[in-house]
Amino acid sequence: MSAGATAGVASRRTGPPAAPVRRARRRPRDLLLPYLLLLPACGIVALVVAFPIVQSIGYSLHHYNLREPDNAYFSGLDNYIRALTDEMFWRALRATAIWVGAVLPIQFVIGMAIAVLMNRAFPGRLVLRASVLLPWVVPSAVVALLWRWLLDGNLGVINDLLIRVGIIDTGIPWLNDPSTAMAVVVIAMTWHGMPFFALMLLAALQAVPAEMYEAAHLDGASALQRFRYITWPSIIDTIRTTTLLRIIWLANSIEIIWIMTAGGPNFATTTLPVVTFFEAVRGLDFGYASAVSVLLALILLAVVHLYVRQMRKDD
Amino acid sequence: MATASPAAARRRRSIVVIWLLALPVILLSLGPFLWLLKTSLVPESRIFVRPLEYLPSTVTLENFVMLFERMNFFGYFANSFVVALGSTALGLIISMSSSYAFARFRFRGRRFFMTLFLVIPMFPTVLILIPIYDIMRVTGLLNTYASLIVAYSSFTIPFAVWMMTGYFAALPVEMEEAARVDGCSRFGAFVRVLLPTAVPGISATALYIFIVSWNEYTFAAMLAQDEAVRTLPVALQFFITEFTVNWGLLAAGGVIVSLPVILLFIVLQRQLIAGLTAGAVK
Amino acid sequence: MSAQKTSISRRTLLRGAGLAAAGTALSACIPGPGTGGGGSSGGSQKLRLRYWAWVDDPTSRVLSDLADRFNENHPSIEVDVELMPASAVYERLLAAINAGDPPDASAIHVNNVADIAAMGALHPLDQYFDAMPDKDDFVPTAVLGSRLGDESAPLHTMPWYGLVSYLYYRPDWFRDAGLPEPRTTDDFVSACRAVTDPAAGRYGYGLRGATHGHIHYFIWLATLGGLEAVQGPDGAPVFHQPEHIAGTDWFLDLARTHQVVPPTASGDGFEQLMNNMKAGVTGTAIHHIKSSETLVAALGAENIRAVPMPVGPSGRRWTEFGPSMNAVYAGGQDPEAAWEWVSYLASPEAMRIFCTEDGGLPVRQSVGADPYFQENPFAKVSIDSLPDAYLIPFTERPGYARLAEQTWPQLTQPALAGEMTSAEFAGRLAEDVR
Repeated sequence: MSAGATAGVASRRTGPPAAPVRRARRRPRDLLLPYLLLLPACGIVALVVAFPIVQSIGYSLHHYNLREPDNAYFSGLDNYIRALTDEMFWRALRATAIWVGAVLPIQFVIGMAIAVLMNRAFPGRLVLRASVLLPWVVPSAVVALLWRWLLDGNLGVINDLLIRVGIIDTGIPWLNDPSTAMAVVVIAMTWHGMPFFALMLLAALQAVPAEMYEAAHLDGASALQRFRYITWPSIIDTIRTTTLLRIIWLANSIEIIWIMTAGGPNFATTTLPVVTFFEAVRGLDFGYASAVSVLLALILLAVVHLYVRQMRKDD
Repeated sequence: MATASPAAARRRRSIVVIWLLALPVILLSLGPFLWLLKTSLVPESRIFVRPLEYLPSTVTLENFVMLFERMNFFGYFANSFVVALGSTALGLIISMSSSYAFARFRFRGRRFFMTLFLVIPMFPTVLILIPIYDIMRVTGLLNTYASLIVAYSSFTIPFAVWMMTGYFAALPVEMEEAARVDGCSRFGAFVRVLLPTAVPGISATALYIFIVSWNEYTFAAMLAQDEAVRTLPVALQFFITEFTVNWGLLAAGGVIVSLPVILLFIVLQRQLIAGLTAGAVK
Repeated sequence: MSAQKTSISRRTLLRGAGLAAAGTALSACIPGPGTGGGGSSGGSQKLRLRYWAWVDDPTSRVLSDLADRFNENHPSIEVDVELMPASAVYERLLAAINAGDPPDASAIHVNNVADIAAMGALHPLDQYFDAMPDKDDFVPTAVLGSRLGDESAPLHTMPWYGLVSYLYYRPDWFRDAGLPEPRTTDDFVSACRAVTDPAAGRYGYGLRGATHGHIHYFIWLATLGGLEAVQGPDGAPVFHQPEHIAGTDWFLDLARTHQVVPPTASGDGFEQLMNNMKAGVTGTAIHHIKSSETLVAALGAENIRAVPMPVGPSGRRWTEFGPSMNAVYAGGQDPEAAWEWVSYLASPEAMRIFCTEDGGLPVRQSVGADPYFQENPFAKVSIDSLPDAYLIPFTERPGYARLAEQTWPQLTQPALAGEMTSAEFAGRLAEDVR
């Protein structure tokens, strides 16, 4: 991803310098410096996370079940073949795509709207900001349990309100119906994660100089035009980054789904992380669980690649 | 009173419009949380009744009292703070170092490393659980703050690097170059020019790391079960047993876990918008 | 750009960074005791015994108190009770066992014993148990539970306490409908039909369709046709076979034909089960003594009662015995010392203290005869049901966790809705524990 190719703000040069800095005596240090700067991050990530991941990839090529740890043997692509021929895998993949494809746009649109709102100075703005942050701050387990309760078919607030208003007569078992379960899980996740977008976009919005808006306003641009020609191009990079990160994060998120529906009913909300979790922690089949994870990572990699390519085209 | 000027009237109107838009947002964001709050203030026997009580008939503080008197919630608070602050500090410093490299240098392997940081979060954490336990055990860090701080930093660094690279790269490089021409070192230019203008982005990233660390359960449950280092999310799980969910205590706990972060945000939010003027670079 | 603002924020930033860095360095040095090899604590000979457990009431100190008593009488052992949330114990055990550093003993859930035993991590306890002079005081079904239902299997764990499933019902609802206490399965069905009133949001039976609800399903099947209608002599499932499918029909018909279960039944777990009883959504539910206190608090003692599980057409009763046990780990420091501790927990004195505080059932007949348990109506019903209480079949099979936590909860929705036949439903379940 090319960092900093902002359109429409031609006077600002951003991103890595195109030409080397003039001072020749700094050159050797400059060559080494970026690698040195990367060292801490790579070091800690390699030790704590990367090594286990590599180990995990290794497991995926073995038959490795914790029930019989001494019976592990190399099995090549067996786990992968098993996954790719398992109807559950494809079903979960589809559910994951729906999950990400539904949560992401809604979170983005709402987050964007809120960020724009939060960017303006008005009395009581603090109340808006603090309350918007709240859903993200509540621990995921509590969010999931809370929403499960709010959606309860017998004792849930949502049904109660709908009945009082007269829209329905009896409570709808939202989480028990395959056709509604995914929708409500999406709603809970959107509620929980929307502040992340709002916050990141707000930070980007604040980097846009006020003078540009004033100049445009003096030129007679409407609010919508200001948004389209000034705001959007200035924050497009943040949007892309945040969206990319969010896709990856969402694809791997499990806590909300697991606690609200445990992947049900009838596997309607079983995404790939749910499959991985179940196979690893309950089935104790780490070989197979690792293979499923690797496949998901490969799919995400492909998605990221397509996304980046599309972004390059747009530039 | 004389009629207000047209400008003031326009301003008043726009404030009203903003509030009309803001109100539903506030309600939707707060709504579920208010239900949680109400549940925390109600005795256990009144939590599941029909018809639903929106305004509690009896209010009690016994749930909160129980958390702090019968359980060690003060201690858990302190532990969560240490871990979250530590992770944020460590994660920020390390991420900023990498983000500066990505944003201000063109070097071989830049794309490779950036992709690496993107690929690592593509793996679910459940597979890392057991190896990380082993790593922490072998290094003697099990049941210490350090284990969580190191673990959380590692999880959040990939995303934090990407986020801050974006924020850094969006800031024009001329100001730093001007400072360096004036005799500033690279590090000096970073601290004096880049950092102040990147404060909104840094603050947002810091908040991200903090919240992730503050609310993380899975690894805290695995690595830090000793009472001396137990964090809040793990303590909350005590109320979810095989046979019941102790909603009074869980709700009170949920409220307590959430509010300090909000307070912290309110206190720090001046920093978040500090860049509004500082970022106005022409 | 205001230089003043920049310098202020830079200073604050640097100060903040410095503080944070110092804080990080400092905090990393702050000790939690760390683990890895119990070792000695102060004294030269004292063994620090690591014991992991969970309790249902996090404010309870009963385990630490018992540990203190034990430590007083065993100067060479110091038991270190590490309490953690129930959901955390199993994952931690897996990691610890895998790392070759298990605790010395732990409470263990019956569903996990088969897997942990297969790993070879448990230290069998037959030699110690057989040497106990009062071993016959233990309820036979508890000892059998520690053998995972197989008389010839080793004693994997030490019995500690237990839970017996019975039927809750609303005496006020039944009285209003002129119904007697449900004694037989036929009574049960007609009573449920009589009290069900969907318009008022009332349903006869709180069916548990979510995780672990299979327990109730098997209870009903075994009640209707005996254990032989569920599990064959070799331990394999038979409930899905055509000659036994009538049991599954009966069960699913509660929803399909009689419609006495709430529409949420397929997703109702233990939490919803209890909440529905408390809120007056359901009139009966199967559960055990652990929920009695909270139900009495919510409904009042006169509006909630327990009876043993209704008997089937043959007059036989069959209910679940859910054992709670302690395990001694083969990789621990000193299995004999660990045995001292777990056998103390199962001693009459400790069992009495623990069960009165925690609410579980004693598995010693001598303790069960205590007035405290005999006078508690829920404990009495449980103890009276003990002769007919057994470990749920298939607990020892590798696929049991999948049945309990995946296949069952996922398939109850189409099955109860009539979108899946009894044969297919039972067949899919049977496949897991084949």
